[in-house]
Amino acid sequence: MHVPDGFLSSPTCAVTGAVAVAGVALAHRASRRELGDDGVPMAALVTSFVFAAQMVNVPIAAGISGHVMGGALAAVLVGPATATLCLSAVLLVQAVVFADGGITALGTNVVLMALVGVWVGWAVHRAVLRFARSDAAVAIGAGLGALASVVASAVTFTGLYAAGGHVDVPLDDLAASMIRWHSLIGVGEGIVTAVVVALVLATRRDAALPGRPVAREAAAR
Amino acid sequence: MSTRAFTLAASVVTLLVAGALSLAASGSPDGLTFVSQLHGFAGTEDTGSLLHDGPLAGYAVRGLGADQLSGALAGVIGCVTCFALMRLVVRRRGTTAARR
Repeated sequence: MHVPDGFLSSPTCAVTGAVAVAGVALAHRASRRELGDDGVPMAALVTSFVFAAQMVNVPIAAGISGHVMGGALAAVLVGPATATLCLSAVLLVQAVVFADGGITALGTNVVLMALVGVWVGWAVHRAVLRFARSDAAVAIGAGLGALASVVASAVTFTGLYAAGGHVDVPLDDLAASMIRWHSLIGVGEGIVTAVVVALVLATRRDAALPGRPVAREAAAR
Repeated sequence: MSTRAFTLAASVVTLLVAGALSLAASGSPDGLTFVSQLHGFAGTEDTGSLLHDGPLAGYAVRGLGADQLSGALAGVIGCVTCFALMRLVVRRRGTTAARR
C-alpha cells in the first residue's frame, strides 16, 4: 500500500501532508492517556513488529502479493492514538532509510495507514466488542478490524487518486481493482491479526483488553 | 509473563520475522503496485529522490549486494531503528517515563 513519489499531484501531497501532521500531533497528545510507563516498551515493540510484518509479502494470486499493514493490530495492542504514532514511525523509517514509499508521499501513506487504517480498524474492533466480550471476541474483532482497515485504505487511496492522480483512470474500474485485491489481502491480514492478538492475550493476560491497552492495565497494578 | 520476559520473547520473534521469514517473502508486486500496473499509472512513479541512493535503499545493504545476508541485515536494522524511534517519541513525556 506504500504510495511512491509521483503517483499524486503536489497539491494532493500537500493536503495529505497537512492532515498527517495534524493527525500525528493530535495522536501524540492523546497517546499520553493510553500509555503508562509499562506501555513504552510495548509501543516500541509493536512499532518494530509492524515494520517486520510489513516485510513479509505473501502471494495472494499469480503475480500479486500482499503484506500486513498492522494498523488494527497496533490499535488493539496499544490503543489507537499510540498506534497512529507506531505506524507513522514505521512509515518514516521505511521512506527515509529504505526508500519504500515516497518522501513526498509520506503524508499520503500516513493518512492511508496510520490514520485511516488504524482508526477504521479500531472502530470495527470496538463495534464487535459491543456484541460480545471475551478473549475470542477481542481476537476476532481485531481480525475483522484489520480486514476493514485494509479495504478502507484502498478506498481512501482511490479517492485521493480521483483528486490528484497523474493519469486519467476510470475511477469505478480503479475502485473495483483496489477493493477486489485489498479485500483478499485484508482477509490474510485479518487472520494474522487475530492470531497475533490471541497469542499476546495468551501470554500476557492483561494485554489487549478492549479499550484498555496493556499499558494502562499494567500501570494500574 | 513479566513485562521483561514478554518484551524479550516478542523482540526475538520480531527479529526472526524481519531477519529470516522476510527472506521468504514474495517478490511479486503488492496490491497497490499491481493495480497501478493494471491501470497504467505505475510509470508515474518517481524514483529520482536522493533516498533511493541511500545505503539501505530497497531493503539491501549497499556493498553486500542483494543476497540473503543483506536482506536479513536490513530487516534487523529496520526493527532496531523503529524500536529506538518509537521509544524516543513516547519517552519524552516527562516524569514517569524519565525514570527508566
